[in-house]
Amino acid sequence: MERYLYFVKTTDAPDATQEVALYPTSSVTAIEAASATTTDILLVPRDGSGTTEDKVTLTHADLDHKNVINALVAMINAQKNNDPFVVVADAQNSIFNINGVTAVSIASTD
Amino acid sequence: MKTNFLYFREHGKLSFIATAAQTNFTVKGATTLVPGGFGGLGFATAIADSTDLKNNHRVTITSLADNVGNRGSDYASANSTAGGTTILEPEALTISSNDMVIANVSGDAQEGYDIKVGDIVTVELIPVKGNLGAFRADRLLSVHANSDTATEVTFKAADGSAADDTVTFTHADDDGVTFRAIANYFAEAASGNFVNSGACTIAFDGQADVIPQELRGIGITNMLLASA
Repeated sequence: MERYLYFVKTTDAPDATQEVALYPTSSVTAIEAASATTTDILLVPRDGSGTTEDKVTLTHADLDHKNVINALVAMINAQKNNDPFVVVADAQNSIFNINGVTAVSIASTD
Repeated sequence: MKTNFLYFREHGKLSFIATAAQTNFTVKGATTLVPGGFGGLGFATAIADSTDLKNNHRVTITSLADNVGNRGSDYASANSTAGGTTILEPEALTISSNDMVIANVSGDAQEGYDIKVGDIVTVELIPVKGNLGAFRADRLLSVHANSDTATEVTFKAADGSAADDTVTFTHADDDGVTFRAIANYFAEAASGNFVNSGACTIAFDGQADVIPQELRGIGITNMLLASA
């Protein structure tokens, strides 16, 4: 069963592009450090170009990339329930299901 | 089916215990430093210059004792405390030849730091794209020899570009023995044969010296990531 990762960037109601997004886990191509306190989730771009990736950036505790990546992959592989809807980071509702993550941003060329 | 992600991190860390009120610490110019060893004993890639040091590395000083007036005006306090760690301002850092040079307060009243005997100075590579990442195992393209001492693992580029993401291992010239061991490991990893709790497979964490048994002890001396 495919699972889907849900992200909300804004603390108020998300109502614009790049403020909320749902991606299938199969779209995740890599997870990479971006800075001392951010990790990028690279995704197959939704514009179909295949050349410029969509990117979700998680802001987290200093130098905590390994834990964030581990937790995210565990969520991708979660087998404990049959719910395909996986909330990773929902700033609107202050739900961050990875320990140490405090913010999220979404970037897409589409 | 479980989606395997393979985690890689280059090594990039050195620590020194100051033996005097020193400002210079040798961080490159010898194979004992670059690549040195995994787990905080060297750098996968030499610090190129002052700009590289300032922008891509973090230098911290853990003070052995309480000191008065040994930090510049840009720090929260002019004093350091025993056991306390200070992240140095990048402006205090330069590279001179093979040395990292830390400005003292008399040389830089703002960002300088007067190091004392017994202080622990640590320089560490900041994780960014290209030195820390987790790649999907099912995007593995190849394991191939680049030379008799370099084996490259390639993945479809995460950003969809033509250039692959690559992981390059440096090792001894042993007529293909190490190549085969590396290839065997990635064949297993890509096949999803590893059992774990669903989290990442730590394929090679040079920074923490967390290396799977299949890759440890086979003479790998360096691992370099490149992400398109």
